[in-house]
Amino acid sequence: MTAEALVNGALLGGLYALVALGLSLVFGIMRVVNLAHGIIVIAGAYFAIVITRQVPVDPLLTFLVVGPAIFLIAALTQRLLLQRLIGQSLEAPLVATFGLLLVGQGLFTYVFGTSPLSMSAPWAQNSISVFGMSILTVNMVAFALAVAVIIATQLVLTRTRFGAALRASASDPETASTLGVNINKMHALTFGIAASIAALAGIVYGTGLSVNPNDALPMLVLGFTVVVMGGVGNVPGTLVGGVLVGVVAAAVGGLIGPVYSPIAVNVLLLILLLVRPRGLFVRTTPRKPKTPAVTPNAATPAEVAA
Amino acid sequence: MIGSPKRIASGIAVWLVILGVLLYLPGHIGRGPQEILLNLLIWIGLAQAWNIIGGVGGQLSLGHSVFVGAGGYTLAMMMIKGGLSWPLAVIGGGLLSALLAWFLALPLLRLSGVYFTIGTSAVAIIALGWMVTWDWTGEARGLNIPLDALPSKTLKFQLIAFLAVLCCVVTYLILHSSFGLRLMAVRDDEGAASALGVSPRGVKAKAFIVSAFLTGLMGSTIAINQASIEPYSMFNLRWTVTALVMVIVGGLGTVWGPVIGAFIIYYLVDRSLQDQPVIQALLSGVLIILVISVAPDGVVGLARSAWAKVRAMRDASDGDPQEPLTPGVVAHA
Repeated sequence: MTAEALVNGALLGGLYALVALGLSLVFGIMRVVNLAHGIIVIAGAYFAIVITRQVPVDPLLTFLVVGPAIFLIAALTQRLLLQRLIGQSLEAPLVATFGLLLVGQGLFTYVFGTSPLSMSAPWAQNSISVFGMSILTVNMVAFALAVAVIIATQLVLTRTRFGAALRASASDPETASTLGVNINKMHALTFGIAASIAALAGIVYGTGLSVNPNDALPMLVLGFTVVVMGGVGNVPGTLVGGVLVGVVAAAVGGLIGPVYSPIAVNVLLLILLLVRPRGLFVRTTPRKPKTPAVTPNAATPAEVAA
Repeated sequence: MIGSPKRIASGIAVWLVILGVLLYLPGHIGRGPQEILLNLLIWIGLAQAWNIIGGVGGQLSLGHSVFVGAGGYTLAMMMIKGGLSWPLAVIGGGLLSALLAWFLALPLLRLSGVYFTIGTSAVAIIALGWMVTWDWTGEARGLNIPLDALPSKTLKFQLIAFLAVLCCVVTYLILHSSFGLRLMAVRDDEGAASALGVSPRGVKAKAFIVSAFLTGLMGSTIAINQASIEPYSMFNLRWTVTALVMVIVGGLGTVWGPVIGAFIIYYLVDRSLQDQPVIQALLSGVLIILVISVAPDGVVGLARSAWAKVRAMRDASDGDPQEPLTPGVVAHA
């Protein structure tokens, strides 16, 4: 195994962070784990594939259409279906999002079949030489996009009124709503934004790698591993988690064999749940809280330490 | 609720009668119906076993395919490499699955149910990925159980009927025991239950282990039924997904829910869409979304509330027509 493989793995980890970010936002703000998250990533890729088949544009540009479309579908789904189920029982949102996963999987299998599909872009197959290492451009694009989206998300959450309202609706929905925050609207927006970030991840995924409908569950577990590693709702932590997962996958793939790197990611999740269930960056071990979710207010390391 | 010993005995008696009828059936019904009933019984057993942790315990497991596969492979390995007889191998399959669940409960049940759900699907992905490459168990080619060591068709049917009923009886007993009460208390309000001295992790782990044991037993009978097994079918996530859909449609956390759900999904839906697996999956998704948002207690819940309404109406019509005193009535008098 070479440093080159590790660096490529770390950069690809940016893509994993992008997959995980929406999951982390929804979990952190709405206290719901969206089991359909993986299929949204895949939906983003398929939407982009459909567009690039019709119009010869760069796959990344399709986000201008795919992003808003997925945002609308997700926000409407949240408004019409999930909102009523949250708080009804613990299982209800899980069952409903699992149902959405099955529906999405069924639809995409029906339309596209189960063989992996991908898009081509002029830059995707190139590689650049850095310090004598050959780095795939697609990995660099993925990493740059992840950094940009994560910084933007963090700034919105911490520096804007909208972000403050989001954080308020996460940490104390009742007080927030008495102060004029429309919780339902916040949740629909969160769900929509999370889904369009997932769709962006899907577009990159479909360009650099390939997608098929059966990847939805492994994709969800991958995202969840990153979320657990970085800490739920911890936006910068997502990037660190993604990079670490990328490095582990690359290391196992290089040392043992590429077949074992997906297994390694899943084993990593189990080990994390056993030793650091609240993420790598929670320094103190607090008294067992009722909900494991750390709210996004705890986004900065200083706040986490407090 | 905890029933009186007399009530529990009569509840179990119902299942024993059903078992008696099922044991009598082979040879007295046609081959086709027997085959269908056999598959239905396998699904009832699987759905019921999943129901113990997923319904009664409220922990949605996506990893039960691991126990189906572990049960089936343990049986096959014990019979092929160990030369053991099938009854021992069936029990071995159950025990190994239970052991696996005990081990898995350590990381999976540390946090809330969501972690369990995703953790179990991680385990399912690991297991399939591992089994495909493990040469000791025949990699992707799988294993062939010698046919002469397997039970006869009649005995196989009776074994599966016995195990399916066993799953139902175990669920019934759990629902009417203090353990079941603790489990449901943890499901409904973990904080309150642990404040009253119940260990949430402990009861959930026990339910998971029992559920895995029964799923392992069913998995070994699936291997007996198929005679040749390979990882992609034995460790397929569809086992879990179908069982989950059955339980939700029938009614989470009830004894009859999984039975009715298995009948609806296997007999009415899947068999009529046999050549349309994609539509099957799609329909399953739509069904569970509909059920959880319109009738979260499933068919059993609907039947119960309908029955309660009928009773209320009957009481109102043939009971004493005593009008409640309303201000108007008082004023008239």
